[in-house]
Amino acid sequence: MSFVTLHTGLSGLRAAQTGVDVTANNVANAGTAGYTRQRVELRARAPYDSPVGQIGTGVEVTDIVRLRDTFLDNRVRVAMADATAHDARATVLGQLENVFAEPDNGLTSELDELWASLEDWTLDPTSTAARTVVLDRLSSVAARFNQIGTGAAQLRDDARETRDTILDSAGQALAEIAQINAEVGNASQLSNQLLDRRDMLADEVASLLGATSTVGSDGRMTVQVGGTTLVQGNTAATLSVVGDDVHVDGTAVASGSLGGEVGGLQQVILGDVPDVLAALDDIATQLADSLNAQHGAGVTADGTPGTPLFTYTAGDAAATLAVTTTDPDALAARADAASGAYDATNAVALADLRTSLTARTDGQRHDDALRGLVVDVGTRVAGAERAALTAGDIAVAAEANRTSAHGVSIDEEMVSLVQYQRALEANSRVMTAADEMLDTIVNRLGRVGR
Amino acid sequence: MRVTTQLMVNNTLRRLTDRLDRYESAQEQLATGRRVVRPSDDPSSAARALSLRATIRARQQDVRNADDAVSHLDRADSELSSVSTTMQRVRDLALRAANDVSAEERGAIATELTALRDQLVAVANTEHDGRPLFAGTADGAAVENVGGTWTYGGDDGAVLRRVSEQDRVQVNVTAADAFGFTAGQDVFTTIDQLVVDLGTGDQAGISASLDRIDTGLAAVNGARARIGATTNRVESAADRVEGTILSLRSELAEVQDVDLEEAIMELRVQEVAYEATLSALGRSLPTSLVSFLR
Repeated sequence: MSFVTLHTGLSGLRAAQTGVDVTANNVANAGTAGYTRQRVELRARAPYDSPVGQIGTGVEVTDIVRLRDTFLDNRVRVAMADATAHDARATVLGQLENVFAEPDNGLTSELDELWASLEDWTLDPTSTAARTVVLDRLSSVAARFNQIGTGAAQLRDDARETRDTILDSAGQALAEIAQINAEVGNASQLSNQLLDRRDMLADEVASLLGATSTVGSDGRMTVQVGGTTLVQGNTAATLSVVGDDVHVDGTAVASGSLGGEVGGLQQVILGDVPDVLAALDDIATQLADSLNAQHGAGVTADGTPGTPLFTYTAGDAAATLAVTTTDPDALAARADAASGAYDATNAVALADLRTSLTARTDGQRHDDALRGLVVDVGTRVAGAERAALTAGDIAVAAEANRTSAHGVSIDEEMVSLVQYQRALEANSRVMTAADEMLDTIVNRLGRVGR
Repeated sequence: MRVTTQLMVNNTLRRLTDRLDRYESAQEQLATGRRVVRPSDDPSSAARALSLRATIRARQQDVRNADDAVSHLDRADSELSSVSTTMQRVRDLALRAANDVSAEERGAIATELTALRDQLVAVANTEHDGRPLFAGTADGAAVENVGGTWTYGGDDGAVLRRVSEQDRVQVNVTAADAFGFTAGQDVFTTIDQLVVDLGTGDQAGISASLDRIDTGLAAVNGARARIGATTNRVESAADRVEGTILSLRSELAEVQDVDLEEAIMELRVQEVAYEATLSALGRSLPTSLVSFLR
């Protein structure tokens, strides 16, 4: 009988106490975002040699580990990057669709009204009322083009601003990862709390930039996006925007290799909005050109040839489309100076541009071209929303898988708590037993016959 | 799968938002009455709906145009019908004068003929909606006496009305056609000459004028026949267009409108589902081992 048993009991007592502490911490952090559940790692202590063989000397706590699976992390990050990319694109495109305000208050109905007003004008070509309505409709069409043109450009500017803000916060996250890398390198023991923080930051840059991250054998995290390194060891790259290109440390990154929210926004900024604006400009240009040409072919009441109805700045036609005149008499209804006062030949020709297959250079009607654009926008939105939904489901499933592995289960912790509590009681009993035995030996031994 | 507290909270939240989203969309459909509220709801249906709307708008304009055309044609027809009656009277008078009548009676006939001629001139210069009815597209008098010669003052401009997608019809006849300017001699000169012949008692001239009056009558009746044919064409086109509008409207409803019974059912289903999700969550969330460890 030696004092060893006391120490053995004490080691068990301490292990149980540590277990309770860790369990308590797990329970306390059950709702903490990014928290990884922790477990106490126990190991039997080295035995000592006794004459009859080796006897163990108790238990020791070797580590408190995070139960983290990097495979699940990577799956979540890839899925999140995809989901946020589609989501960002779908959001902006949805706003773009709202700018069009189809089908009720859109350009298509304005255009329908314009054609109808021209048709009304053919019924009574000299009527000031009919002419005023035509001018009114022309202005409405121009105003609608302006609204959509500037609205789409404004959306793009907003998207740029959001992108820049995101790049800022992504830059900060990258810097913090590098900083944690440095602390990890210096510390002899890894702080679970810092590692949790770094994993959260990695999640963040994944959903912001579509960046992937790997943890090396030295415990430092390397962050990359499309082959470009963002964090390596203790240094983080600086992000900047030149023109509409994202630069990493001064070198442009192909926008296709960017994912996450920035990738989605870049798609809108560089792809969707310019496409839609180009199509809208084309429709505005061709509509203005064909109406101007046809109007120029006729003459007004006093015999002067019709002046152009619309002006626009080439290359920015939709936003700059404007009606040139407010004078009802400036409208040219007659074919030429020789035709009668009530001649409506040119008014008819203007109204017939609605169904003309030669009014546009591509053989479409104006209406069809516009409708095509509206449907194109709708299709883009629907596609992006569907993709966002699917990617969102995948991300949610991946996240659920990860939470299921990393998260705290209260039931489990309760079981652990009971287990450690009992362990503590049992170890106390061991120490009590050892104490009583020692008491017997020290205080009562050799007192026979006293 | 290991079920953790965070997982349950996340799933709960997701299911709730999911349910609420569907509930909201069912409500939006019911409130707007539309299945396709935005083009992105169903791009192909939206394309069809927009195209149908444009067509309906154009067809409504066709109906307006046809109404205007019919009013134009009706006016011309009623004016020319009075011309026809007047010409018939002119013919009766000429016929009477061709038989031997007294000089006194010839004078009376001449006076009546002059009055009838003025009546015809007035009809020829009728205005409709503030513009000459029989002067083509020209302004001013359709028929006037310039230095003793009756002339057609209008032009041969066509007044066109679009009554269906590709069909523009001419709704006017000119005084040149209706009053015989193009068919040899105009009726005004014929009557004037008859009056002169009556004054001089030129029986051969009076008899000869009968043929010219018949030519004039044929011109008026020809014009009326054209108007009648055009009216028929416009009216049948308008009937067709009205029918088209009806079927286009029902097609549009088919494409974009929500089936009301179905939408109400859907809303009820989503409402019940949402409530069920709520109550299920309320029951399942709080329980854990904690409640049972004493």
